Amino acid sequence: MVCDFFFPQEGGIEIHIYQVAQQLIALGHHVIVITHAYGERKGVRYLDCGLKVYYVPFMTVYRESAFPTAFSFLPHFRQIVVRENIDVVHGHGSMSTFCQEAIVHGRTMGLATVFTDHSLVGFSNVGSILVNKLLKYSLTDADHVICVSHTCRENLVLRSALSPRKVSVIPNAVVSENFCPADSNSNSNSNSNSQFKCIDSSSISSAEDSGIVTVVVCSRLYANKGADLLVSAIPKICLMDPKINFIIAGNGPKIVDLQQMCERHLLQNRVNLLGAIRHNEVRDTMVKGQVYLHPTLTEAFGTVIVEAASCGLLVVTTNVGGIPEVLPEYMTVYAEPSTKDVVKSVLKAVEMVRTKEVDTTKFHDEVKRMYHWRDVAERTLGVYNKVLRKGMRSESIFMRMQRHYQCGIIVGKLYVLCVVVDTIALFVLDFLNPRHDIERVYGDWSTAVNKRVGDCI
Amino acid sequence: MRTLWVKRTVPDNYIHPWFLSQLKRNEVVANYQYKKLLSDFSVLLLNMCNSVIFVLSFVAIYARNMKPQYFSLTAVILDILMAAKLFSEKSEAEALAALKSLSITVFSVMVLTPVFRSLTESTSSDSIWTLCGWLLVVNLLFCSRSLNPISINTSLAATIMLASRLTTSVDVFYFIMYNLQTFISVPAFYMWLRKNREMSAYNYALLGLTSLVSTILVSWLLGSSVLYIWILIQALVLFAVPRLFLALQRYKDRISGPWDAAVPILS
Repeated sequence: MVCDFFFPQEGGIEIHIYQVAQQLIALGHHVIVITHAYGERKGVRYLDCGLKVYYVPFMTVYRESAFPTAFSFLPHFRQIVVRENIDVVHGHGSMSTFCQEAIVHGRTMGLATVFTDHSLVGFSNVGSILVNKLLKYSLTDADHVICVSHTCRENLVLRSALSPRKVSVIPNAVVSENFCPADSNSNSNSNSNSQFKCIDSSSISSAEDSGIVTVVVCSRLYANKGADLLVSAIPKICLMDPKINFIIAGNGPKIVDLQQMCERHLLQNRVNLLGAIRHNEVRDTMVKGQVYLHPTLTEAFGTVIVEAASCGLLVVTTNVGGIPEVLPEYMTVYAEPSTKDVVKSVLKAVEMVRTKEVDTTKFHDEVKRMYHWRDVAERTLGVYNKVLRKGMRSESIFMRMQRHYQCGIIVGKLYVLCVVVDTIALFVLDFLNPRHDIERVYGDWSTAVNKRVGDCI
Repeated sequence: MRTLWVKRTVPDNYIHPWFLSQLKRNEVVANYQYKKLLSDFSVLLLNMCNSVIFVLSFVAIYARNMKPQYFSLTAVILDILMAAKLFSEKSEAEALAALKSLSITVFSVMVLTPVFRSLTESTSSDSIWTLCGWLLVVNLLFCSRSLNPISINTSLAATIMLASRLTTSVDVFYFIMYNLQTFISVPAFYMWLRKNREMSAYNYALLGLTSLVSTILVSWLLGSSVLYIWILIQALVLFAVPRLFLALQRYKDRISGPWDAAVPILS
């Protein structure tokens, strides 16, 4: 699996890669992850259950994406792939340069290639047009594509002009054991080590009797995650119902706006800004509340709302992107992305919680039945088997060039040029450092590790 | 229908009947009318005529030794007419403020005239003509329905640059004043008249006058063969280019759907 985004970063893509890799290892497969170096974290590292991660030193440009070069990743990539006896290259995330390069180089080396898209991209601005053109180039070489939701699939088919037959929908999942609802005594002595600690946690635990409802928000505070909606809606909600408190976890450029909002409306006692938290603290934060608010403006899947539902929270979310596909109606209250509607929906959800109109205690078991990483891994494996059986591996370079040529009047020729250069570069590398000279990993070793740690999942 | 939580009964790559059912095409495309477009393109024509008048006035002064005073005096008459129309719709305080800024402008140009005159002494004329040409091109590219800083700044820069090639300070002063009165204020006045993009009688008069003056200057300074070309260009810009613009609309293909980032409505 290749992606720019991986541990120590924590987000939807990172967790997806980690969990699917763990499940595939448990199923007896050999999985490695290739990403770029994060600060001092470079070279080869091992995570749980012998998951081997290559941190390749590369310059990053924007939000942890590697510097886009068409060919410079090839030497590293070839070494790793040959050394590890790889059959399938699986890239994640259309914003990841590593992923796109790996798919093209993988095709050049005659491997099966799979791509997973985790985000939605529009068509109207210069940045997205550029990303879409790059994506079209690399996806021409992908045997199969996986999308995390139906909306994501429609978006990708339009962006890359692929046949929808080549695009599968496999959703994300949650480790439901890690997101179990609060029991009566666990949250009374949980203490947060937040930098913006405003209310002591003991006041939350005794809140249930007094009718106080806590709304939790867990999101990176960027404009596209709806931080502006949050800033404008919270004062209105607090004004209309004095018994609603907020806990906001996550960091980002918009945290300043939230702090200013708290100061302007004197809400320091009612809005608790926790700042960035680790993914393993998310559950403990969520169970302090009864309602989860997700005001995002664009979302392909939205794993966090599944996590919230799994923790037994009623979910209030904007009705955008792939979100309506994720959870059943009765677990969610939808809002249009406007301040007015968000306020209305939050108040409605709080009322539903107070009158016990919804039984949130059953959410955990229901979510457990809906999403499981083992299911995701098995479906992904199905895709791997399919592309290994009848992918484009045996295709001649002329067929490949022809497919690239048809991508566009001008870019088509450019793509063909890139393919030719890539092939020549690989030929030169194979000549300078023949494949049989590259040291291979011991096959038995990884399976032995699997047997030893197989029960850790 | 679009559900991810229910156990699937079809393969992952099954194409559902509702695939792409939420795709919308050209949802918010404006419906252009030829008449409205004519009015919009008249701004472009006005700017073109204005630029031609600007350049040819300079040619008359620089190459044919005309006195810039005459140009400036003619412009004063036009300016008085424009000011009369402007003040008829403004309050006394606004009129006073406008007069104040006018006098400040006149005096500052007067004070700066010696500087302007010697501004490009060390530069060759050819560079100035080229630079001025490019400034006019930028000015035309950026002329739009409303007055914008780029077009004002390019006009002003071109004016000062050409003025600096004149020999006496008096000429420089009159030339700059003349262009402030016409080259820069005529488009502003035209756009102010075109409230809500509706053409008024004053608009037609101003457009007609500018076009006529530019045509007369072309025939006087550049000869009859250029005159025909210039008339043809004017007709094309006013009538044919909007047609072309309309014809190009059918190539517009804007797709939207649930994957687009929502625009939040904040209150």
